[in-house]
Amino acid sequence: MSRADNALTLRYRLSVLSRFCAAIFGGYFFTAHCVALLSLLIPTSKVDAVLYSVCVSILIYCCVFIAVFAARSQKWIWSVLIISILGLDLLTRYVQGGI
Amino acid sequence: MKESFFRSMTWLHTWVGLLLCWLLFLIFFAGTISFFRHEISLWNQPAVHSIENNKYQQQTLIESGLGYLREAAPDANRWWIGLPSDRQPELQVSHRHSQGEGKRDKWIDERLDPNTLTQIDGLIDTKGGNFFYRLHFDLHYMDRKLARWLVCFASLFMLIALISGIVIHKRIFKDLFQFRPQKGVRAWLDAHNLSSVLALPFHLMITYTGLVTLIFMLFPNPAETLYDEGLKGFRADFYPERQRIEASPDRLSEPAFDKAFAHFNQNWPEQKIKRVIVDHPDNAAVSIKIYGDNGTLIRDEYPFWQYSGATGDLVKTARIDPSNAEMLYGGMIAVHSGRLAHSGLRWLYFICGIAGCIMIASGCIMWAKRIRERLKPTQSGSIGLKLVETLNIATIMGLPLATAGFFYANRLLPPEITARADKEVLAFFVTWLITALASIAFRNTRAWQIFAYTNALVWILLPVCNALTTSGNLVTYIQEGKWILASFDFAFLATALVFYFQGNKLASKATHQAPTKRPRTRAATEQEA
Amino acid sequence: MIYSLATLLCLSAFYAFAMAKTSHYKSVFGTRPSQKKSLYINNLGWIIILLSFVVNLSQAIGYGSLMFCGQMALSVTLIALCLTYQPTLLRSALYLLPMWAIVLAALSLIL
Repeated sequence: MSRADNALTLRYRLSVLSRFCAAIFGGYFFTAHCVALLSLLIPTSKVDAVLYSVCVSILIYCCVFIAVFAARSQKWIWSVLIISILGLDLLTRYVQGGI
Repeated sequence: MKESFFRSMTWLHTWVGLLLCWLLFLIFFAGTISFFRHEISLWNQPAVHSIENNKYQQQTLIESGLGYLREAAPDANRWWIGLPSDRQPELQVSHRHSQGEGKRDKWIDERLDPNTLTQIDGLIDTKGGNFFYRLHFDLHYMDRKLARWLVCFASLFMLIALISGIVIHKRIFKDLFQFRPQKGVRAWLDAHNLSSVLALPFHLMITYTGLVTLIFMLFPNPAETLYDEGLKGFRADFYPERQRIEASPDRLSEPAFDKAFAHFNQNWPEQKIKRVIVDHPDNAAVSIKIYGDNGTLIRDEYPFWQYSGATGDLVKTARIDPSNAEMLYGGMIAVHSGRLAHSGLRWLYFICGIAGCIMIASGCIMWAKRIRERLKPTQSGSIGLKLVETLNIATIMGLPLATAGFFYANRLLPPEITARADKEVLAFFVTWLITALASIAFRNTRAWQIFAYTNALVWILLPVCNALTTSGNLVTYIQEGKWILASFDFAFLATALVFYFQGNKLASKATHQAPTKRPRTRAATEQEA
Repeated sequence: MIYSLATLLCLSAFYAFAMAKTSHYKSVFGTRPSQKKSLYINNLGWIIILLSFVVNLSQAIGYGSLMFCGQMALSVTLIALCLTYQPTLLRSALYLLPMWAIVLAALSLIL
């Protein structure tokens, strides 16, 4: 912790803020798109698909959250998050259109 | 990589934990108390204390409830009958009346003695355990939606803190029983580890399932992708029992209750009934909804039967044979709310909840102590540290005190004043506010000690206050076998005892610390350097 | 009755786990246990806790596992508090716990 205290520069604070934003908002949108796609892919009745995907959503959110803080490079985090969110969104649209 | 992962988790644990720990403490505290929601409602309503356990069969109770409502509210648009249980001795009958276009319908709640079927005299206006239940996720005085988002957010942080905590404190499983109260900050770390490990499955479960209870607010996306009308469409599909029934213009004087219940009792003779709702009792659209009791099954929604009142035929059923997904989702919520628990499991839930409170509290205290220890005795700490110390004392000592204030207000406020229930809640928040203000001025060990002793005094006098203001006391409760009420007194005394010991502990520390403080901190700083 | 038997078994298991640790064993009995003895006690603890789990599950799978979680929390609390404040109290538990368990087991078989 002393390391963190010594490094209380503006740059450090900004990077922390960026990580929190990535974890909270990025994680949220990633999870939201992920479970939306998941609900389309689960081959059960509509109600059951919604319930299953909703139940695992928190697990996904947590994993993303921790991954964001464990990863080293900020740029990498943001780019992976944005690309995967876009990818998931496209896939969801594709599956929906296919049905 | 491994080392940096470990470090990032340590960092995450500290900051995620610290950011929202006071809100989390409030949520955990209120939630823990809410396990005894109905018991508190019972305690808060002395008029109900004298009711004997119900002797009648459920069918008799339902019939007399319907009979009562036919007399009392023939023009209501909904009747609601809640049957007595072990935790709620009274028979609840409510009726809802239309208030004309654009206005919300008005509920009138009444309670009957199940043995005499007369109204209970001397009921007072109180929120009872529902206050804590609502506080747990609605945070009172706050916009409901905002509050729920905040609670969700805090729970997510809690889950993250738990997971990162497991990663960084890997060794806790090795020495599970270690608690060394003599060793300063080390003792707080021990308390933190012990309280988190001993109920770790509970903590993970309760946080995860807690998030699941609010999941449709957090992630409406699956429902929105699958249903054209979004959540509304999903709800219509998932809750067939909540479908609105429109009134009919044709009057109907004699609904076929007997035929409906005869059919129900013949086909499901063993089914315990939780509540009966009758929609539009005075016209041809009359429908009878029967909700079964789940008992100790891990299910949240009640099995449901709907009969047409005009013909007495079964119209639809729901959740009699739930699917796997429903069992998973409902099971999570059931496990969270603990409605299924008998008194033994309920107390275990309570102990685990207290462990959670201790875990959060010791975490907050430890952070402040570590920073404080690093400072020289003459240094007065940054604003951040002062803020943390103030918030620590205000929440950790203030909430129990405020809860006691709520109980005192329930017993001491005169029954006839207006908006009495709100005044009880006000007493809770005023007590808390006073503690918070006091803690801005005094934050040292001495202040902790005084607050601990105040808590001890207040809690030990609570049974006395109860004995003076109601007709019963601990001795009569035990004689008459009213164990719920007796355990309230025991719980109050136990709380007082814990605070008394904590106060003593702090007292010895306060006198002890003064001369030895200087060399110890110096040694500590040298060690770190 | 069955659940109290399970609780007692759970308590005994955690008692065994605590006694398998040299420092705790020493604070209770005053002597150091041999390594073989520690291992033996530890294994015994695992067997008893498994037994407790099975007894809980035999009643109801969902409710039983909830009970088991709660019982573990209760047992650890009790043992940790005893070890901290009154370690010698646990010396008598060596005889009390098995006796109590036998009585409860007998009672739950009869009733």
